[in-house]
Amino acid sequence: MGIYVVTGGTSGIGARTVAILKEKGHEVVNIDLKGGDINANLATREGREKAVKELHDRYPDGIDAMICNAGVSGGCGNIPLIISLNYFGATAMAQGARDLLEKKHGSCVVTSSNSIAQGGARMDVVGLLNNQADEERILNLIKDADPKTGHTFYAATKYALARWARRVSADWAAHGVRINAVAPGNVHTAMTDKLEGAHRVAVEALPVPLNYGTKDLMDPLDIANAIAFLASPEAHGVCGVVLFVDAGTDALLNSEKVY
Amino acid sequence: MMIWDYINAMENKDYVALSKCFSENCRLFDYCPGNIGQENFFIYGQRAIDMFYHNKFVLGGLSIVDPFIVDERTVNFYATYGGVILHAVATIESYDHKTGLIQEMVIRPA
Repeated sequence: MGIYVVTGGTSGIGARTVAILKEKGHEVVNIDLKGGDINANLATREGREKAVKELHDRYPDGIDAMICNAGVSGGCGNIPLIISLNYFGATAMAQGARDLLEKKHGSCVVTSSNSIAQGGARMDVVGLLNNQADEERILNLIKDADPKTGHTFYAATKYALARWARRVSADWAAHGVRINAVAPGNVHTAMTDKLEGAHRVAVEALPVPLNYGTKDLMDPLDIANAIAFLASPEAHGVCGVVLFVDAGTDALLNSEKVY
Repeated sequence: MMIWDYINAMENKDYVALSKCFSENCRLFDYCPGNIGQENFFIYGQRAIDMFYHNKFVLGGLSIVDPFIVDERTVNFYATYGGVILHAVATIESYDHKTGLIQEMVIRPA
């Protein structure tokens, strides 16, 4: 059995992923702000460094998988948090654990979003994240952004994260490490359950084809199963892929795109 | 005429009524968005039309105004795609002869 590390494993998709991996008999380490096996604030450089050090202390012989799932939604009202946690909290943790993954020829999975295909991302921010990757300067540049535009920044971080995974995948593969991204659709969470008014209307206007005729969102378990698969040895041939796990939403809206 | 039902549904942003204008295995192509730097629409199946237009009417800023029905197969109108207005013409390319439902519709810049 393997050693699997999951960030953001206390709730939502992350918690389901932790449960699946434990059911399979793996040792699972949850890194989260609260309720984790390692508690750390991955929205800060210090928190990431602490978590990476802890992993090296605990598992000097390597880990089998690093699942970078921690993130916040575009509706959280805190754009710096979206930037720091969703993008840098994932890429820094993956890079920090890369040497541990190399030791066991492991795999990395990052959680993106199917919103990356819907044209709502701030592509200038995507470019800054992927090409500059200077967290402090980017935070300074966006400091006056309207919190109501959080969804465009959310999509930007998730787009940049998927592109980052694609960019590094070949080199990582040449070092024996697979890296892939999952792009979930609208998932049923405690937060989405509470949405009302215009927010509820907007969520329902992003249809979930497998749930046609209902207003149901996706079950986080569906995403967690895909993550567990990508992280597993059974996905040995899968590398550099952005896997849409959205019950058909992306195919509905972008049917002609096959690559 | 089905073209009336189609245009009424579009004007009212009624994606359910719109989908009911189409046959089960229909196709709908809209080549207008490509003219303004957006992705064209390609939709296959009645339920897909329901879901697709639900999304576009609510989140995509899609609406139409000032329709002019040319004949039983053709209507032109001004369509707004996310804030950009285009003159468009919609043509029923084929329909089910038993039910009258649209099998294929193509929307092009007018």
